[in-house]
Amino acid sequence: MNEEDLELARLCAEGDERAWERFVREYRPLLYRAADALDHTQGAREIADSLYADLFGIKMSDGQRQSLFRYYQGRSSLATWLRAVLAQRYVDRVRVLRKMDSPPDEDAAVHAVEPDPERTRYVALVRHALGRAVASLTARDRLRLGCYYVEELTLAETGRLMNESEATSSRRLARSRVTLRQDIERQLREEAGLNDTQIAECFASVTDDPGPLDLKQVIYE
Amino acid sequence: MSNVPPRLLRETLLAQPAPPSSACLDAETLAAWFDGVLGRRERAMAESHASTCARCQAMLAAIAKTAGPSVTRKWWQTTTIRWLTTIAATSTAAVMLWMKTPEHQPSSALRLNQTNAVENAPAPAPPAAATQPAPRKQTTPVFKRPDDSKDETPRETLNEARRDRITANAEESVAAADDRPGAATAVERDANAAAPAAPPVPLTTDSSSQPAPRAAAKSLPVPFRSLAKEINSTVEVVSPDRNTRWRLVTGGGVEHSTDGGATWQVQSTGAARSLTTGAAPAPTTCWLVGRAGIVLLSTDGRTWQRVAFPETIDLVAIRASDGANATVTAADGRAFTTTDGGKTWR
Repeated sequence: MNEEDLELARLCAEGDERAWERFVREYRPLLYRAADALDHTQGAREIADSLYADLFGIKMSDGQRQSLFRYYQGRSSLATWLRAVLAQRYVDRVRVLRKMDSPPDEDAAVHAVEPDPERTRYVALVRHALGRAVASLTARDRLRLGCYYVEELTLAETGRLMNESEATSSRRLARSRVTLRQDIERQLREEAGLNDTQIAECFASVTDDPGPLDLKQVIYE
Repeated sequence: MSNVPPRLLRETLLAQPAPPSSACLDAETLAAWFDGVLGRRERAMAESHASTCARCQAMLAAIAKTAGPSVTRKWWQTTTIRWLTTIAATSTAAVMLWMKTPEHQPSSALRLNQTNAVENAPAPAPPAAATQPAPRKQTTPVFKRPDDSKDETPRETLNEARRDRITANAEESVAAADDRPGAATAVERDANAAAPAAPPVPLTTDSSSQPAPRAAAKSLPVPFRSLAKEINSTVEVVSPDRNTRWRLVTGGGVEHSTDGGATWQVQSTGAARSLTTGAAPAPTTCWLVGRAGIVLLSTDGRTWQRVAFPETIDLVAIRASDGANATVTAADGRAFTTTDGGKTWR
Protein backbone atom coordinates (compact mmCIF):
# COMPACT_ATOMS: atom_id res chain seq x y z
CA MET A 1 0.00 0.00 0.00
CA ASN A 2 1.14 3.49 -0.81
CA GLU A 3 0.22 4.99 2.54
CA GLU A 4 1.66 8.42 1.91
CA ASP A 5 -0.07 8.80 -1.47
CA LEU A 6 -3.30 7.49 0.01
CA GLU A 7 -3.16 10.03 2.80
CA LEU A 8 -2.53 12.83 0.34
CA ALA A 9 -5.48 11.68 -1.76
CA ARG A 10 -7.70 11.47 1.31
CA LEU A 11 -6.80 14.98 2.42
CA CYS A 12 -7.32 16.34 -1.09
CA ALA A 13 -10.71 14.64 -1.27
CA GLU A 14 -11.64 16.29 2.02
CA GLY A 15 -10.67 19.68 0.64
CA ASP A 16 -7.51 20.24 2.61
CA GLU A 17 -5.96 23.28 0.95
CA ARG A 18 -2.37 22.51 1.86
CA ALA A 19 -2.71 18.96 0.57
CA TRP A 20 -4.23 20.26 -2.64
CA GLU A 21 -1.39 22.77 -3.07
CA ARG A 22 1.10 20.02 -2.60
CA PHE A 23 -0.73 17.82 -5.03
CA VAL A 24 -0.81 20.54 -7.68
CA ARG A 25 2.86 21.32 -7.15
CA GLU A 26 4.01 17.73 -7.36
CA TYR A 27 1.60 16.11 -9.76
CA ARG A 28 0.52 18.80 -12.18
CA PRO A 29 3.77 18.65 -14.18
CA LEU A 30 3.54 14.88 -14.26
CA LEU A 31 -0.01 14.95 -15.53
CA TYR A 32 0.81 17.47 -18.22
CA ARG A 33 3.83 15.47 -19.30
CA ALA A 34 1.62 12.41 -19.60
CA ALA A 35 -1.00 14.39 -21.55
CA ASP A 36 1.63 15.68 -23.94
CA ALA A 37 2.95 12.17 -24.44
CA LEU A 38 -0.54 11.07 -25.48
CA ASP A 39 -1.07 13.96 -27.83
CA HIS A 40 1.86 15.97 -29.03
CA THR A 41 -0.42 18.79 -30.12
CA GLN A 42 -1.34 19.29 -26.46
CA GLY A 43 -4.90 18.21 -27.20
CA ALA A 44 -4.91 15.94 -24.17
CA ARG A 45 -4.16 18.82 -21.82
CA GLU A 46 -7.81 19.66 -21.96
CA ILE A 47 -8.51 16.22 -20.54
CA ALA A 48 -5.87 16.73 -17.89
CA ASP A 49 -7.53 20.00 -16.88
CA SER A 50 -10.95 18.42 -16.66
CA LEU A 51 -9.37 15.68 -14.60
CA TYR A 52 -8.18 18.33 -12.18
CA ALA A 53 -11.71 19.59 -11.85
CA ASP A 54 -12.94 16.10 -11.02
CA LEU A 55 -10.10 15.50 -8.61
CA PHE A 56 -10.84 18.76 -6.87
CA GLY A 57 -14.47 17.77 -6.72
CA ILE A 58 -16.41 20.49 -8.43
CA LYS A 59 -19.46 18.28 -8.77
CA MET A 60 -21.63 18.34 -5.68
CA SER A 61 -23.86 15.56 -4.47
CA ASP A 62 -26.06 16.12 -1.41
CA GLY A 63 -23.97 19.13 -0.52
CA GLN A 64 -20.84 17.00 -0.49
CA ARG A 65 -17.93 17.47 -2.82
CA GLN A 66 -17.48 14.43 -5.00
CA SER A 67 -13.81 14.10 -5.61
CA LEU A 68 -12.34 11.54 -7.94
CA PHE A 69 -9.72 10.89 -5.29
CA ARG A 70 -12.29 8.72 -3.52
CA TYR A 71 -11.59 6.00 -6.06
CA TYR A 72 -7.90 5.85 -5.37
CA GLN A 73 -7.25 2.85 -3.16
CA GLY A 74 -3.50 3.19 -2.74
CA ARG A 75 -2.71 -0.05 -4.47
CA SER A 76 -0.46 1.65 -6.98
CA SER A 77 1.39 4.91 -6.67
CA LEU A 78 -0.75 8.01 -7.06
CA ALA A 79 1.32 9.05 -10.08
CA THR A 80 0.60 5.80 -11.94
CA TRP A 81 -3.07 5.91 -10.99
CA LEU A 82 -3.35 9.43 -12.39
CA ARG A 83 -1.72 8.31 -15.62
CA ALA A 84 -4.17 5.42 -15.80
CA VAL A 85 -7.19 7.69 -15.28
CA LEU A 86 -5.87 10.13 -17.85
CA ALA A 87 -5.27 7.31 -20.34
CA GLN A 88 -8.77 5.97 -19.76
CA ARG A 89 -10.36 9.33 -20.44
CA TYR A 90 -8.20 9.97 -23.44
CA VAL A 91 -8.95 6.61 -25.03
CA ASP A 92 -12.65 6.94 -24.32
CA ARG A 93 -12.75 10.41 -25.80
CA VAL A 94 -11.02 9.21 -28.94
CA ARG A 95 -13.46 6.32 -29.20
CA VAL A 96 -16.42 8.69 -28.86
CA LEU A 97 -14.97 11.01 -31.48
CA ARG A 98 -14.42 8.08 -33.75
CA LYS A 99 -18.04 6.98 -33.42
CA MET A 100 -19.32 10.50 -34.05
CA ASP A 101 -17.00 10.65 -36.96
CA SER A 102 -18.40 7.57 -38.64
CA PRO A 103 -17.77 8.31 -42.28
CA PRO A 104 -20.47 8.98 -44.77
CA ASP A 105 -20.02 6.80 -47.80
CA GLU A 106 -19.19 9.61 -50.17
CA ASP A 107 -16.12 10.43 -48.10
CA ALA A 108 -14.98 6.88 -47.80
CA ALA A 109 -12.12 5.28 -49.53
CA VAL A 110 -12.80 3.74 -52.88
CA HIS A 111 -11.31 0.39 -53.69
CA ALA A 112 -10.87 -1.15 -57.02
CA VAL A 113 -12.17 -4.67 -57.22
CA GLU A 114 -9.59 -7.38 -57.57
CA PRO A 115 -10.57 -9.40 -60.62
CA ASP A 116 -8.37 -12.45 -60.14
CA PRO A 117 -10.35 -15.12 -58.25
CA GLU A 118 -7.31 -17.38 -57.75
CA ARG A 119 -5.48 -14.60 -56.02
CA THR A 120 -8.47 -13.60 -53.95
CA ARG A 121 -8.92 -17.23 -53.02
CA TYR A 122 -5.34 -17.41 -51.80
CA VAL A 123 -5.73 -14.19 -49.85
CA ALA A 124 -8.94 -15.47 -48.32
CA LEU A 125 -7.28 -18.74 -47.37
CA VAL A 126 -4.35 -17.01 -45.70
CA ARG A 127 -6.61 -14.61 -43.86
CA HIS A 128 -8.81 -17.40 -42.65
CA ALA A 129 -5.79 -19.40 -41.49
CA LEU A 130 -4.17 -16.36 -39.91
CA GLY A 131 -7.32 -15.55 -37.97
CA ARG A 132 -7.34 -19.04 -36.54
CA ALA A 133 -3.62 -19.00 -35.85
CA VAL A 134 -3.85 -15.72 -33.95
CA ALA A 135 -6.79 -17.02 -31.96
CA SER A 136 -4.78 -20.06 -30.93
CA LEU A 137 -1.91 -18.02 -29.51
CA THR A 138 -1.67 -17.55 -25.76
CA ALA A 139 -3.29 -14.40 -24.40
CA ARG A 140 0.10 -13.05 -23.51
CA ASP A 141 1.53 -13.59 -26.98
CA ARG A 142 -1.57 -12.06 -28.55
CA LEU A 143 -1.38 -9.07 -26.27
CA ARG A 144 2.30 -8.57 -27.10
CA LEU A 145 1.55 -8.72 -30.82
CA GLY A 146 -1.31 -6.27 -30.36
CA CYS A 147 0.84 -3.84 -28.43
CA TYR A 148 3.57 -3.90 -31.04
CA TYR A 149 1.71 -4.21 -34.32
CA VAL A 150 -1.62 -2.59 -33.55
CA GLU A 151 -0.83 -0.02 -30.89
CA GLU A 152 2.57 0.61 -32.40
CA LEU A 153 4.43 0.67 -29.14
CA THR A 154 8.18 0.53 -29.31
CA LEU A 155 9.92 -2.60 -28.15
CA ALA A 156 10.88 -0.79 -24.96
CA GLU A 157 7.28 0.21 -24.31
CA THR A 158 6.02 -3.23 -25.19
CA GLY A 159 8.53 -4.76 -22.82
CA ARG A 160 7.53 -2.38 -20.05
CA LEU A 161 3.89 -3.24 -20.53
CA MET A 162 4.56 -6.96 -20.61
CA ASN A 163 6.90 -6.76 -17.63
CA GLU A 164 9.82 -8.15 -19.58
CA SER A 165 12.96 -6.74 -21.12
CA GLU A 166 13.09 -5.12 -24.52
CA ALA A 167 15.22 -7.98 -25.81
CA THR A 168 12.78 -10.56 -24.50
CA SER A 169 9.88 -8.77 -26.17
CA SER A 170 11.78 -8.70 -29.42
CA ARG A 171 12.61 -12.38 -29.20
CA ARG A 172 9.07 -13.44 -28.31
CA LEU A 173 7.54 -11.33 -31.04
CA ALA A 174 9.78 -13.01 -33.54
CA ARG A 175 8.86 -16.39 -32.11
CA SER A 176 5.15 -15.61 -32.34
CA ARG A 177 5.48 -14.65 -35.96
CA VAL A 178 7.30 -17.88 -36.73
CA THR A 179 4.57 -19.79 -34.90
CA LEU A 180 1.89 -18.02 -36.92
CA ARG A 181 3.69 -18.73 -40.15
CA GLN A 182 4.04 -22.42 -39.34
CA ASP A 183 0.44 -22.68 -38.24
CA ILE A 184 -0.80 -21.02 -41.43
CA GLU A 185 1.36 -23.29 -43.57
CA ARG A 186 0.04 -26.32 -41.73
CA GLN A 187 -3.57 -25.24 -42.25
CA LEU A 188 -3.00 -24.50 -45.91
CA ARG A 189 -1.33 -27.86 -46.42
CA GLU A 190 -3.54 -30.09 -44.30
CA GLU A 191 -6.92 -28.42 -44.47
CA ALA A 192 -6.90 -26.61 -47.79
CA GLY A 193 -4.83 -29.31 -49.49
CA LEU A 194 -2.31 -26.95 -51.03
CA ASN A 195 1.17 -27.93 -52.08
CA ASP A 196 4.38 -26.02 -51.38
CA THR A 197 4.17 -24.00 -54.59
CA GLN A 198 0.60 -22.99 -53.92
CA ILE A 199 1.45 -22.08 -50.33
CA ALA A 200 4.25 -19.88 -51.60
CA GLU A 201 1.79 -18.25 -53.99
CA CYS A 202 -0.61 -17.69 -51.11
CA PHE A 203 2.02 -15.79 -49.18
CA ALA A 204 3.08 -13.91 -52.28
CA SER A 205 -0.54 -12.83 -52.78
CA VAL A 206 -0.88 -11.39 -49.31
CA THR A 207 2.57 -9.86 -49.43
CA ASP A 208 1.76 -7.96 -52.61
CA ASP A 209 -1.46 -6.60 -51.26
CA PRO A 210 -3.74 -8.04 -48.64
CA GLY A 211 -6.71 -6.90 -50.70
CA PRO A 212 -9.43 -4.32 -50.49
CA LEU A 213 -11.63 -5.95 -47.92
CA ASP A 214 -11.91 -4.78 -44.36
CA LEU A 215 -11.06 -7.82 -42.27
CA LYS A 216 -12.93 -6.43 -39.33
CA GLN A 217 -16.09 -6.67 -41.38
CA VAL A 218 -15.24 -9.95 -42.98
CA ILE A 219 -14.57 -11.79 -39.78
CA TYR A 220 -16.65 -10.13 -37.14
CA GLU A 221 -19.67 -8.47 -38.62
CA MET B 1 10.85 -17.85 -46.39
CA SER B 2 9.40 -14.64 -45.16
CA ASN B 3 7.07 -14.29 -42.24
CA VAL B 4 3.45 -13.24 -42.15
CA PRO B 5 3.09 -9.81 -43.74
CA PRO B 6 2.87 -7.28 -40.90
CA ARG B 7 0.02 -5.39 -42.48
CA LEU B 8 -2.09 -8.51 -42.72
CA LEU B 9 -1.11 -9.48 -39.21
CA ARG B 10 -2.12 -6.06 -37.96
CA GLU B 11 -5.48 -6.29 -39.70
CA THR B 12 -6.11 -9.71 -38.26
CA LEU B 13 -5.22 -8.55 -34.78
CA LEU B 14 -7.55 -5.61 -35.22
CA ALA B 15 -10.27 -7.98 -36.23
CA GLN B 16 -9.78 -10.19 -33.20
CA PRO B 17 -10.54 -7.93 -30.21
CA ALA B 18 -13.93 -8.17 -28.61
CA PRO B 19 -15.93 -5.03 -27.80
CA PRO B 20 -15.51 -3.40 -24.39
CA SER B 21 -17.38 -5.13 -21.62
CA SER B 22 -18.01 -4.81 -17.92
CA ALA B 23 -14.87 -6.84 -17.40
CA CYS B 24 -12.74 -3.94 -18.68
CA LEU B 25 -9.82 -3.04 -16.48
CA ASP B 26 -10.41 -0.13 -14.12
CA ALA B 27 -7.87 2.58 -13.41
CA GLU B 28 -6.82 0.92 -10.17
CA THR B 29 -6.01 -2.34 -11.94
CA LEU B 30 -4.33 -0.61 -14.86
CA ALA B 31 -2.13 1.36 -12.50
CA ALA B 32 -1.35 -1.73 -10.44
CA TRP B 33 -0.38 -3.50 -13.68
CA PHE B 34 2.25 -0.88 -14.41
CA ASP B 35 3.47 -0.68 -10.84
CA GLY B 36 3.91 -4.45 -10.89
CA VAL B 37 1.71 -5.08 -7.88
CA LEU B 38 -0.87 -7.31 -9.51
CA GLY B 39 -0.86 -10.85 -8.22
CA ARG B 40 0.15 -13.58 -10.61
CA ARG B 41 -3.38 -14.85 -11.13
CA GLU B 42 -4.85 -11.38 -11.32
CA ARG B 43 -2.26 -10.38 -13.85
CA ALA B 44 -2.99 -13.43 -15.99
CA MET B 45 -6.70 -12.61 -15.93
CA ALA B 46 -6.03 -9.00 -16.84
CA GLU B 47 -3.74 -10.06 -19.68
CA SER B 48 -6.32 -12.50 -20.92
CA HIS B 49 -8.98 -9.78 -21.05
CA ALA B 50 -6.69 -7.16 -22.56
CA SER B 51 -5.59 -9.53 -25.30
CA THR B 52 -9.12 -9.46 -26.73
CA CYS B 53 -10.37 -6.02 -25.68
CA ALA B 54 -9.50 -3.14 -27.98
CA ARG B 55 -10.32 -0.51 -25.37
CA CYS B 56 -8.18 -2.00 -22.63
CA GLN B 57 -5.35 -2.62 -25.06
CA ALA B 58 -5.49 1.00 -26.13
CA MET B 59 -5.51 2.14 -22.51
CA LEU B 60 -2.53 -0.02 -21.65
CA ALA B 61 -0.72 1.36 -24.67
CA ALA B 62 -1.61 4.90 -23.63
CA ILE B 63 -0.21 4.39 -20.16
CA ALA B 64 2.91 2.81 -21.61
CA LYS B 65 3.36 5.87 -23.78
CA THR B 66 2.98 8.23 -20.84
CA ALA B 67 5.72 6.52 -18.89
CA GLY B 68 9.13 8.11 -18.91
CA PRO B 69 11.99 6.45 -20.76
CA SER B 70 12.75 3.08 -19.34
CA VAL B 71 15.66 3.02 -16.97
CA THR B 72 18.26 0.64 -18.23
CA ARG B 73 19.59 -1.35 -15.35
CA LYS B 74 23.34 -1.46 -15.14
CA TRP B 75 24.68 -4.90 -15.82
CA TRP B 76 26.06 -5.36 -12.36
CA GLN B 77 22.65 -4.54 -10.93
CA THR B 78 20.90 -7.38 -12.69
CA THR B 79 19.59 -10.23 -10.63
CA THR B 80 21.82 -12.76 -12.36
CA ILE B 81 24.98 -10.83 -11.71
CA ARG B 82 24.00 -10.23 -8.09
CA TRP B 83 23.49 -13.93 -7.62
CA LEU B 84 26.74 -14.76 -9.38
CA THR B 85 28.60 -12.28 -7.19
CA THR B 86 27.19 -13.86 -4.06
CA ILE B 87 28.07 -17.34 -5.26
CA ALA B 88 31.59 -16.26 -6.23
CA ALA B 89 32.20 -14.62 -2.85
CA THR B 90 30.92 -17.69 -1.00
CA SER B 91 33.03 -20.03 -3.11
CA THR B 92 36.15 -17.93 -2.54
CA ALA B 93 35.55 -17.95 1.20
CA ALA B 94 35.06 -21.73 1.16
CA VAL B 95 38.29 -22.31 -0.77
CA MET B 96 40.23 -20.03 1.58
CA LEU B 97 38.88 -21.87 4.61
CA TRP B 98 39.82 -25.16 3.02
CA MET B 99 43.32 -23.89 2.34
CA LYS B 100 43.72 -22.71 5.92
CA THR B 101 43.24 -26.16 7.40
CA PRO B 102 46.66 -27.72 8.33
CA GLU B 103 46.24 -30.87 6.28
CA HIS B 104 45.83 -28.80 3.18
CA GLN B 105 48.80 -26.50 3.77
CA PRO B 106 51.33 -26.85 0.91
CA SER B 107 54.98 -27.69 1.63
CA SER B 108 57.37 -24.84 2.52
CA ALA B 109 59.15 -25.08 -0.84
CA LEU B 110 55.91 -24.87 -2.64
CA ARG B 111 54.82 -22.01 -0.39
CA LEU B 112 58.02 -20.15 -1.27
CA ASN B 113 57.42 -20.62 -4.96
CA GLN B 114 53.86 -19.48 -4.57
CA THR B 115 54.97 -16.41 -2.65
CA ASN B 116 57.43 -15.49 -5.35
CA ALA B 117 54.84 -16.09 -8.00
CA VAL B 118 52.43 -13.88 -6.16
CA GLU B 119 54.99 -11.14 -5.68
CA ASN B 120 55.92 -11.20 -9.37
CA ALA B 121 52.38 -11.27 -10.54
CA PRO B 122 50.53 -8.10 -11.39
CA ALA B 123 48.30 -6.66 -8.71
CA PRO B 124 45.09 -8.71 -8.55
CA ALA B 125 41.80 -7.20 -9.36
CA PRO B 126 39.59 -6.45 -6.38
CA PRO B 127 36.87 -8.96 -5.55
CA ALA B 128 33.95 -9.02 -7.89
CA ALA B 129 31.61 -7.52 -5.33
CA ALA B 130 33.82 -4.49 -4.90
CA THR B 131 34.47 -4.00 -8.56
CA GLN B 132 32.96 -0.84 -9.95
CA PRO B 133 32.82 -1.05 -13.70
CA ALA B 134 32.92 2.07 -15.77
CA PRO B 135 29.43 3.54 -15.87
CA ARG B 136 27.57 2.69 -19.01
CA LYS B 137 26.07 5.36 -21.11
CA GLN B 138 22.45 5.84 -20.07
CA THR B 139 20.74 5.32 -23.33
CA THR B 140 17.92 3.06 -24.27
CA PRO B 141 19.44 0.19 -26.19
CA VAL B 142 18.29 -0.11 -29.75
CA PHE B 143 17.11 -3.54 -30.70
CA LYS B 144 16.26 -4.73 -34.12
CA ARG B 145 12.62 -5.22 -34.80
CA PRO B 146 11.89 -8.85 -35.38
CA ASP B 147 12.67 -9.96 -38.90
CA ASP B 148 12.51 -6.49 -40.29
CA SER B 149 14.78 -6.29 -43.23
CA LYS B 150 14.54 -2.52 -43.19
CA ASP B 151 16.75 -2.46 -40.16
CA GLU B 152 19.61 -3.07 -42.50
CA THR B 153 19.12 0.50 -43.61
CA PRO B 154 21.32 3.02 -41.81
CA ARG B 155 19.39 4.61 -38.96
CA GLU B 156 19.97 8.15 -40.25
CA THR B 157 18.40 7.21 -43.55
CA LEU B 158 15.43 5.71 -41.78
CA ASN B 159 14.86 8.79 -39.67
CA GLU B 160 15.20 11.05 -42.66
CA ALA B 161 12.73 8.95 -44.59
CA ARG B 162 10.30 9.08 -41.69
CA ARG B 163 10.59 12.84 -41.42
CA ASP B 164 9.95 13.19 -45.11
CA ARG B 165 6.99 10.89 -44.91
CA ILE B 166 5.46 12.77 -42.01
CA THR B 167 5.94 16.24 -43.37
CA ALA B 168 5.13 15.47 -46.98
CA ASN B 169 1.65 14.14 -46.58
CA ALA B 170 0.15 12.75 -43.46
CA GLU B 171 -2.36 10.79 -45.44
CA GLU B 172 0.17 9.17 -47.71
CA SER B 173 0.22 5.47 -47.38
CA VAL B 174 3.10 3.95 -45.57
CA ALA B 175 5.30 1.69 -47.57
CA ALA B 176 3.85 -1.77 -47.58
CA ALA B 177 7.21 -3.30 -46.96
CA ASP B 178 7.60 -1.46 -43.70
CA ASP B 179 7.27 -3.87 -40.87
CA ARG B 180 5.10 -1.52 -38.90
CA PRO B 181 4.44 2.02 -40.04
CA GLY B 182 5.45 4.53 -37.47
CA ALA B 183 6.96 1.83 -35.35
CA ALA B 184 10.36 2.61 -34.03
CA THR B 185 12.57 2.01 -31.12
CA ALA B 186 12.34 4.41 -28.24
CA VAL B 187 15.23 6.36 -29.65
CA GLU B 188 13.57 6.74 -33.02
CA ARG B 189 10.27 7.68 -31.47
CA ASP B 190 11.93 10.38 -29.41
CA ALA B 191 13.55 11.76 -32.51
CA ASN B 192 10.13 12.09 -34.09
CA ALA B 193 8.32 13.04 -30.94
CA ALA B 194 6.68 16.12 -32.40
CA ALA B 195 5.15 14.29 -35.31
CA PRO B 196 1.66 12.82 -35.14
CA ALA B 197 1.28 9.20 -36.05
CA ALA B 198 0.60 8.48 -39.67
CA PRO B 199 -2.96 7.42 -40.39
CA PRO B 200 -3.72 3.88 -41.42
CA VAL B 201 -2.92 2.78 -44.90
CA PRO B 202 -5.87 2.87 -47.26
CA LEU B 203 -6.23 -0.53 -48.81
CA THR B 204 -6.47 -0.13 -52.51
CA THR B 205 -5.05 -1.80 -55.52
CA ASP B 206 -5.53 1.16 -57.76
CA SER B 207 -3.32 4.14 -57.20
CA SER B 208 -5.54 6.33 -59.33
CA SER B 209 -8.38 5.81 -56.93
CA GLN B 210 -6.59 7.04 -53.82
CA PRO B 211 -9.27 8.33 -51.51
CA ALA B 212 -9.52 11.89 -50.40
CA PRO B 213 -8.50 12.03 -46.74
CA ARG B 214 -11.30 12.36 -44.30
CA ALA B 215 -10.93 15.69 -42.61
CA ALA B 216 -12.20 14.53 -39.28
CA ALA B 217 -10.00 11.47 -39.26
CA LYS B 218 -7.05 13.68 -40.02
CA SER B 219 -7.88 15.94 -37.13
CA LEU B 220 -7.84 13.11 -34.66
CA PRO B 221 -4.65 13.11 -32.68
CA VAL B 222 -4.67 9.37 -32.44
CA PRO B 223 -1.41 7.62 -31.93
CA PHE B 224 -3.14 4.28 -31.57
CA ARG B 225 -3.60 2.04 -34.52
CA SER B 226 -6.73 0.36 -33.24
CA LEU B 227 -8.42 3.69 -32.72
CA ALA B 228 -7.17 5.25 -35.88
CA LYS B 229 -8.22 2.30 -38.00
CA GLU B 230 -11.55 3.83 -38.74
CA ILE B 231 -11.37 4.86 -42.32
CA ASN B 232 -13.95 2.63 -43.79
CA SER B 233 -13.86 1.59 -47.35
CA THR B 234 -16.39 1.76 -50.10
CA VAL B 235 -16.11 -0.85 -52.77
CA GLU B 236 -16.69 0.51 -56.21
CA VAL B 237 -17.45 -1.91 -58.99
CA VAL B 238 -16.46 -0.42 -62.32
CA SER B 239 -17.79 -1.75 -65.62
CA PRO B 240 -15.60 -1.98 -68.72
CA ASP B 241 -16.81 1.36 -70.07
CA ARG B 242 -15.58 3.08 -66.86
CA ASN B 243 -18.58 5.43 -66.80
CA THR B 244 -21.00 2.89 -65.49
CA ARG B 245 -20.21 1.81 -61.99
CA TRP B 246 -21.80 0.70 -58.75
CA ARG B 247 -20.72 1.34 -55.22
CA LEU B 248 -21.68 -0.60 -52.13
CA VAL B 249 -23.27 1.20 -49.23
CA THR B 250 -23.31 -0.04 -45.66
CA GLY B 251 -26.26 -2.29 -44.89
CA GLY B 252 -26.73 -3.82 -48.30
CA GLY B 253 -27.39 -0.66 -50.28
CA VAL B 254 -26.11 0.01 -53.77
CA GLU B 255 -25.62 3.22 -55.69
CA HIS B 256 -25.28 3.48 -59.42
CA SER B 257 -23.47 5.99 -61.58
CA THR B 258 -23.40 6.37 -65.34
CA ASP B 259 -21.10 9.39 -65.43
CA GLY B 260 -17.93 7.95 -63.99
CA GLY B 261 -18.91 8.56 -60.39
CA ALA B 262 -19.82 12.23 -60.68
CA THR B 263 -23.40 11.56 -59.62
CA TRP B 264 -24.97 8.57 -57.92
CA GLN B 265 -28.48 7.12 -57.81
CA VAL B 266 -29.63 4.82 -55.07
CA GLN B 267 -30.78 1.41 -56.20
CA SER B 268 -32.85 -0.96 -54.16
CA THR B 269 -31.45 -4.45 -53.83
CA GLY B 270 -33.65 -5.89 -51.13
CA ALA B 271 -30.54 -7.19 -49.41
CA ALA B 272 -30.55 -6.90 -45.65
CA ARG B 273 -26.95 -7.88 -45.23
CA SER B 274 -23.76 -6.05 -46.06
CA LEU B 275 -22.29 -6.54 -49.46
CA THR B 276 -18.58 -7.05 -49.77
CA THR B 277 -17.65 -6.81 -53.41
CA GLY B 278 -18.83 -7.26 -56.97
CA ALA B 279 -17.95 -7.62 -60.61
CA ALA B 280 -19.39 -5.83 -63.62
CA PRO B 281 -18.52 -7.61 -66.88
CA ALA B 282 -20.73 -5.26 -68.89
CA PRO B 283 -22.33 -1.82 -68.35
CA THR B 284 -25.69 -3.47 -67.75
CA THR B 285 -24.49 -6.60 -65.98
CA CYS B 286 -23.27 -6.63 -62.43
CA TRP B 287 -22.81 -9.32 -59.80
CA LEU B 288 -22.59 -8.47 -56.12
CA VAL B 289 -21.74 -10.74 -53.20
CA GLY B 290 -21.82 -10.27 -49.44
CA ARG B 291 -22.32 -11.77 -46.02
CA ALA B 292 -24.00 -15.07 -45.38
CA GLY B 293 -23.99 -16.26 -48.95
CA ILE B 294 -25.77 -13.32 -50.50
CA VAL B 295 -25.41 -13.05 -54.27
CA LEU B 296 -27.16 -10.39 -56.33
CA LEU B 297 -27.34 -10.06 -60.09
CA SER B 298 -28.46 -7.22 -62.29
CA THR B 299 -28.77 -7.77 -66.03
CA ASP B 300 -30.30 -4.43 -66.88
CA GLY B 301 -28.12 -2.24 -64.71
CA ARG B 302 -31.14 -1.01 -62.74
CA THR B 303 -32.91 -3.84 -60.97
CA TRP B 304 -31.47 -6.56 -58.78
CA GLN B 305 -32.35 -10.19 -58.28
CA ARG B 306 -31.28 -12.40 -55.43
CA VAL B 307 -29.41 -15.44 -56.70
CA ALA B 308 -29.65 -18.61 -54.66
CA PHE B 309 -26.37 -19.70 -53.16
CA PRO B 310 -25.77 -23.13 -51.61
CA GLU B 311 -24.14 -21.95 -48.36
CA THR B 312 -24.57 -19.13 -45.87
CA ILE B 313 -20.87 -18.43 -45.65
CA ASP B 314 -19.48 -14.90 -46.13
CA LEU B 315 -18.40 -14.26 -49.70
CA VAL B 316 -15.34 -12.16 -50.28
CA ALA B 317 -14.65 -12.09 -54.01
CA ILE B 318 -16.27 -12.65 -57.36
CA ARG B 319 -15.14 -12.82 -60.98
CA ALA B 320 -17.69 -12.77 -63.76
CA SER B 321 -17.42 -12.83 -67.54
CA ASP B 322 -21.12 -12.22 -68.22
CA GLY B 323 -24.54 -12.62 -66.68
CA ALA B 324 -24.26 -16.40 -66.70
CA ASN B 325 -20.67 -17.20 -65.77
CA ALA B 326 -19.21 -16.23 -62.41
CA THR B 327 -16.82 -17.59 -59.80
CA VAL B 328 -17.32 -16.63 -56.18
CA THR B 329 -14.73 -16.99 -53.41
CA ALA B 330 -15.88 -17.64 -49.84
CA ALA B 331 -14.20 -16.39 -46.68
CA ASP B 332 -12.71 -19.80 -46.06
CA GLY B 333 -11.07 -19.79 -49.48
CA ARG B 334 -13.41 -22.12 -51.33
CA ALA B 335 -14.44 -21.18 -54.85
CA PHE B 336 -17.94 -21.68 -56.29
CA THR B 337 -18.63 -21.41 -60.00
CA THR B 338 -21.85 -20.98 -61.93
CA THR B 339 -22.36 -21.13 -65.67
CA ASP B 340 -26.12 -20.59 -65.69
CA GLY B 341 -26.59 -17.27 -63.96
CA GLY B 342 -26.56 -18.75 -60.47
CA LYS B 343 -29.12 -21.50 -60.93
CA THR B 344 -26.50 -24.08 -60.08
CA TRP B 345 -23.12 -23.83 -58.37
CA ARG B 346 -20.23 -26.20 -58.28
